[in-house]
Amino acid sequence: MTPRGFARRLASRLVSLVVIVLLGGFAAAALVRYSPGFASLPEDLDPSISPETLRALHAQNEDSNPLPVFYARYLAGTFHGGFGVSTSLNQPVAELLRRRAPVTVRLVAEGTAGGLLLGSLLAWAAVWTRCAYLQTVAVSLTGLFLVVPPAVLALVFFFNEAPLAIAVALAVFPRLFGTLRALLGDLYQSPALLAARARGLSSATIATRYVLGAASGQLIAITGVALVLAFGSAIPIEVICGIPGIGALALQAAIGRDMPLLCALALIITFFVTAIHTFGDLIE
Amino acid sequence: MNNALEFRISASYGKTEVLHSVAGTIAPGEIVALAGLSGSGKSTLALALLRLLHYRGGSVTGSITVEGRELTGLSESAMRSVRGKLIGYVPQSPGTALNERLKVRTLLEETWSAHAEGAGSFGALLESVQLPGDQVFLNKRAGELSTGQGQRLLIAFGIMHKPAVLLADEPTSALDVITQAAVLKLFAELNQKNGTAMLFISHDLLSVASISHRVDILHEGKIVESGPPGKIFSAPEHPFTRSLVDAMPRRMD
Amino acid sequence: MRRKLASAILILVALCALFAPAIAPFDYDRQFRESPHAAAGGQFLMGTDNLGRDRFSRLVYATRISIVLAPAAAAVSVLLALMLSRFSSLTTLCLSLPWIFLFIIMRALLPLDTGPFASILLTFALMGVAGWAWPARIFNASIRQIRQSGWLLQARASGMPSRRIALIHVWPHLRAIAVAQFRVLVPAYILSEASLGLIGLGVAEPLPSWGNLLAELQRPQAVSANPWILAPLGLLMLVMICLEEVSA
Ligand SMILES: Nc1ncnc2c1ncn2[C@@H]1O[C@H](COP(=O)(O)OP(=O)(O)OP(=O)(O)O)[C@@H](O)[C@H]1O
Ligand SMILES: [Mg+2]
Repeated sequence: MTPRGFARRLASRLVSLVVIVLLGGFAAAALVRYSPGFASLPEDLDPSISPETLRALHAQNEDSNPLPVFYARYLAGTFHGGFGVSTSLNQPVAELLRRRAPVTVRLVAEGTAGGLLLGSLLAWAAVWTRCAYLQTVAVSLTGLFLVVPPAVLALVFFFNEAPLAIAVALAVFPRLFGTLRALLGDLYQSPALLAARARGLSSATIATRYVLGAASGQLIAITGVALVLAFGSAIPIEVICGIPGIGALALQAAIGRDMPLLCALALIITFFVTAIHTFGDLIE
Repeated sequence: MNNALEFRISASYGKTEVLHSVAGTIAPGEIVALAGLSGSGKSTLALALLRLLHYRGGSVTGSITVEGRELTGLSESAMRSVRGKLIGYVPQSPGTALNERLKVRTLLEETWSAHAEGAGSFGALLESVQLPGDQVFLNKRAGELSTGQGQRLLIAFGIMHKPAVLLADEPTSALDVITQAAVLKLFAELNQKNGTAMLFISHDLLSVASISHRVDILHEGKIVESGPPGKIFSAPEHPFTRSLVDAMPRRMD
Repeated sequence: MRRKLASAILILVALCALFAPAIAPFDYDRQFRESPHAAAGGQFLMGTDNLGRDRFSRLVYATRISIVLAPAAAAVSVLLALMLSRFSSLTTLCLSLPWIFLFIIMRALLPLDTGPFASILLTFALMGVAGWAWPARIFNASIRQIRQSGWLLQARASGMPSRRIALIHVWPHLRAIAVAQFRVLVPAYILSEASLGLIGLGVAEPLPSWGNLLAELQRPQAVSANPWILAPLGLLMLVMICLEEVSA
């Protein structure tokens, strides 16, 4: 592709990224504002609270602004730094995120790395060794972990006080295995590799130049998919194991009908996922 | 009397024009062979005549008349009643032109009911292209046919409704010499019996020459020479035609 | 052979679910207050839970819910995908939203007094609605491929009406993809329900589902006391493996 064509594509991708992120935030805000449970409070079910107090609580909770106005003001606020103040935790959202994000980022990063490593290793074992025994082991292991709910994996690791990143990795790798195996299988049969072998190249050269080099684009795309998968399984894992990360924060925010916090989370998470997709598309 | 087919068209893919105001006429009952190098625009011409080129990402300007009727400007639904009925078409690549999920029977029936009422009977039609008409064959999926069988099935579709003009794009490229001879004979018969005019695209000049009345040579998006086969072979005028004829295999004598 | 065995198991499980009232000895919400945490054997095949409800009966009814609703949700997703696949930017948007996050929002926002039946329907309906984007992308890609196919051009050249072309030529391709997507989504939704149930965001008590039965795993001491608590997990994994085997 010409540099000019690439620049154009980059620009259009960036525009669509911004649009998607803004829409994602709006979708989350709309979801909260118009959900049937928006008006209900935990206190509703408490028989000891008098109806007057309840009514006062509801009035205090009601946001009288129509949604677009709220959202526009909210976005304007984010441009001036800070994501507003969380209504349920009474803390600046930015501060909350700063404290909670590293936990999740670390869990997701380690889980992704582990999942990729494990998936590639098994795919390599299944394709490259041409050993029927190893192949069966790889396929059965993948099949086994494919059918265990990630949350159950998390519980097992939690109670045994093992690192939870491994649980994330175990949830991620079986979903990458198929793609990695196909990729390696294609490479294995590629005429270029065959010709390289015919020229008597060393296996180190073959591994770096012809396998890693040839597959680097796809590997990056797969890493993107792995990141999204790891994030998806990290949320329930955080909630179950009581890890104070973004996932647990999201649940708290939703239960507390905390609009500023939810909007901020929606914007950030959508940005994160869309950025990965965009990046994957661009290097394709 | 009107010509069976008359056209003057230019065709392009994006900004590259591949046919530069190519003109031609085919009289009723005439068989014209169109020869040219690979990539010279023969298939493009056939699709353009059917006004299907935009589905391939191309565009066409100019005029096309079939039996005196102007096709450019016709609506898509009016074109539909022309395609398959007035203009038959045998596509070039049998491998991709058949929907591999469908049964031969379904394909035949659907092609039939596009322009005719009632249930068609396909025994004679299949026999004429040397295909078996039995249940086993009819129940095969198109993906299970050999390339040559697929090509003959596509020929059967092309001639099913006895069109006034048949555009055949390399209709015998995947056939063995015996079947090829039989198919060529079939085309000649159709031409004599029904007066079907044909545009016969091929780069195998020798085999085509035996049944065609005229040969057109397409080169770099233009028709550079046109004449009866005998003249083209014995006294080619355009340098490209000359090199084409020189490159043909000759009997050792 | 393995395939046959797998389908046999699946049919057996489905039959158990269908005839749940006949197979389960008790109602799923009948509480035997005098015997909570009962051991397995005797009156209670797999023991009772902390509220004294018969575990076996609850498992049978849970199977019913999970096994009916996951395919229903998958069908909803595939139908939505078929209808919406042409809006590719909408598809991209929905793919970019991490649905587990949205799901947490949506589910947590349900009124606190939502009934158990409403909660089942909502759980699976939301899953169905949330999961349409991925199959839609696949439909979109294959429609693009079909548009460029030689056989479509050939069908047009033979003068078939476009509605016939769509029905006879295009639909069989899309149907094959729809079936494949359905097969992928059913196990995915069974798993999702299990994870959500474990967090407490799935089907609401007292109705049982595989997900909320798994929530008992959160007390490891109970598991060592009565290993039957693992039965829902085992059944779930068995069904998942069979589904995998059947669709392979
Ligand atoms: N879909 C397309 N997009 C862009 N260019 C195309 C497309 N199809 C064909 N072309 C170009 O148009 C020219 C004519 O192609 P066409 O298929 O008509 O050749 P042809 O004479 O039928 O060749 P052959 O004998 O190999 O079948 C070629 O240069 C080709 O590269
Ligand atoms: Mg061609």
